[in-house]
Amino acid sequence: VAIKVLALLLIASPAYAQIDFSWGGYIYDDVRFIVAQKNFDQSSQVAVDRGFDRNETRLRLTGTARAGDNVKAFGDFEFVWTGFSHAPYQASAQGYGAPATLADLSSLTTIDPFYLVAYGAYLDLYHVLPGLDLRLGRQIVTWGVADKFSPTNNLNSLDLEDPLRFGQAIANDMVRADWNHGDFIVSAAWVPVFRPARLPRTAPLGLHSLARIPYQEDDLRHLVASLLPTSGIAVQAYPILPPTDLANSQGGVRISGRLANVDLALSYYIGRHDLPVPVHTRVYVAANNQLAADTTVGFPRMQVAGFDAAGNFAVLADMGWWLETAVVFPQEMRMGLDPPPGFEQFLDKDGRAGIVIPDTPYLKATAGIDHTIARHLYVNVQYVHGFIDEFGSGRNIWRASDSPSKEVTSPREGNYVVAGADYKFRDDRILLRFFGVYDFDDSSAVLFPQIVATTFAATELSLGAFVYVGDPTTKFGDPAAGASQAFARAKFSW
Amino acid sequence: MFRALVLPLVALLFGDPPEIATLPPNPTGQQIVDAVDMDMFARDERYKVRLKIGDGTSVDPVLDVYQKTLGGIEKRLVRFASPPDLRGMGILVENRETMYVYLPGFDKVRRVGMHARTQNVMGSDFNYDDLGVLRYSHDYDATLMQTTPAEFIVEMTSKPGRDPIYVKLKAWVSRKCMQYTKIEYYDAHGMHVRTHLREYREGKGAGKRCLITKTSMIAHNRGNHLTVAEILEVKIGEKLPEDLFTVRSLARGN
Repeated sequence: VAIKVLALLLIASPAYAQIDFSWGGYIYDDVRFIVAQKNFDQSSQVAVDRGFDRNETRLRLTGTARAGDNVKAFGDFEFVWTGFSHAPYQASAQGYGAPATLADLSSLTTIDPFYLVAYGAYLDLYHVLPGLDLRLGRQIVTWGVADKFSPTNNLNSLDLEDPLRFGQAIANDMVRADWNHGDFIVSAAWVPVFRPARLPRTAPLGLHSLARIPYQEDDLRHLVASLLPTSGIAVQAYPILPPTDLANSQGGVRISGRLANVDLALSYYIGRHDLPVPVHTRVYVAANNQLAADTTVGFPRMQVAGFDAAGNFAVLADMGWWLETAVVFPQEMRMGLDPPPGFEQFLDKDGRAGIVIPDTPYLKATAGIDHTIARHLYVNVQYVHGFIDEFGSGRNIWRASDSPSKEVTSPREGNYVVAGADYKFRDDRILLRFFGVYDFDDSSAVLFPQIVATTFAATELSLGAFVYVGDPTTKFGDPAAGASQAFARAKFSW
Repeated sequence: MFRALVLPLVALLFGDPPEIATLPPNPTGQQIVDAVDMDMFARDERYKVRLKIGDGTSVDPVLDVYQKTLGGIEKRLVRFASPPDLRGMGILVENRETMYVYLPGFDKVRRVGMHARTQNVMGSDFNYDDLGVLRYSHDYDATLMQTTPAEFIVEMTSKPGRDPIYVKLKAWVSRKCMQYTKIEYYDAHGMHVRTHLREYREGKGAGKRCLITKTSMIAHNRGNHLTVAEILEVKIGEKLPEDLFTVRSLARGN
């Protein structure tokens, strides 16, 4: 469908149907190298090895077709060539390859695989009724005032596959309506079919062991941990998406306006968390006599009541500020555990499957400020309570597989500072950017320095690094979060 | 009667510029600045502007600028048609304290903190404050310094309680066009940091408003770095919809 829409957009011409058409795009090369291997826990077992991590070429095409003042069609597509073959690479731990036959080597989908991303393919109808606009089709709806860490922004699932494109959402088919009277705006959206988040390539590394038994009840978790080995189990996770009926569609409403020069908004969302949560695990002895665990993961329902505000501190040299909070009402999730033969069912003290996500409401919040110093230096600082992947009240429980008796726990909603600065010079054609995230609870961090040059017309060249700091049992030190890498990118836009 | 009804209509259809602002005899500096300000937003205006920054590039920024007075409040909307990586971006200026930027990559409207007004617009010698200043008389008290046959020379100093970036301006106002032809900007240390030059094409017929054709900003604190804004298109008096100057409209994009 996306290709058809793109083709229609490309062949549309004012000569045929009084359609005003404009288009643009870019080509983008992105090469990254993992500079330091990451091991599981404290062991010497390599989780992510050194080597090239990405070798992508991206071709993005956007087109807008207008028929008069009140109708607009928009398409935004990106072809991505991964730069790695699907056939397995010798001594590669990155997991690009899959078993291939000689015959596969005659197929471009094996030799030079690519995929297509559709960021948008929608139709805008303006002034359907006085003040009312509609947007129909595949789209991304962004709510909230915070930068990247918006707890009220839940209509689209996140694309977490690439840490450097952090905060990128996955477009979904939906109906959006916006009614405004001046700057008082009511927005509503309906998403018929749920779409899960796209996970980092390193996410399966989180299944390395059963060390992360997610039961919140200590006695039950300790019982399971004492009876089942936490390593040497082949764990597989199998997602099940919610039914595609009307009752499982998502929706939300946001009302925004301005009071005393402060932008204010209230929002409500009903839908699902986009990251999977374990709902059932079967532990068994596989044919090769190895202990195996098959875990079914699902996507819990949630309701989110949000509030956001933004303005300026006139008394603080016009510093910008914003606050975005959300109270999340999660669905209670329990994980049934079928033990291997010879064990009794693992149940909590109420005789039920143990809770992994309690239904206790919890708060997520982001508060931030930004400021420009001496014209060239821009500074942005945010305090974040609850990272974008964090869901549910209770605790994260980490258990090192090399010392399973040791538990490391932290609140599910961590506390972070996200801070960075841009310094521009040479007519803004050189940008030095340094951003970082620090986890107050486990002292892990991410550092993201880069230099971006736009000295050639329509061209952007960048060099930088994305560095994870922390032990394997911390938020950013976890191999499943990814490994430190250096990158070089080139982009030409038209 | 015929002339009264038909000629304005013909002028409107053929895009004749409207009449220039008038001044009382022996005007004060404040009256001159008020008249220029008043004239600036007396009618809906639309410009297409190409910015040549320094030596320029093959993809110089091109902006569409719309402005209108709504209920006595001036508003300005700027949309970026070029360069390609900024195409679709928009800025809505409600006043110097309230600006919004539309980021097409995120399909998001973000409020711009007032602190950002010192930042250059895309590396040019214009800054966001130049976009945000809709009337000089909001921020400055004006004194007439000199009158020549062609120009008024006015000095503007910042009003108490206001904090424009530049504490003093010296402005040359064309008596024929009642528009600024040159403005010198002075910082808090009294340093002459920028000079703004504006060129006009005279309107047809007596008393017709002059149309701006080119404007240049020279940043003396950047080694006399120059940005030339070439006015590619001007439409004055074409009625712009009120709805164009809302956050919702900004989010509709180009």
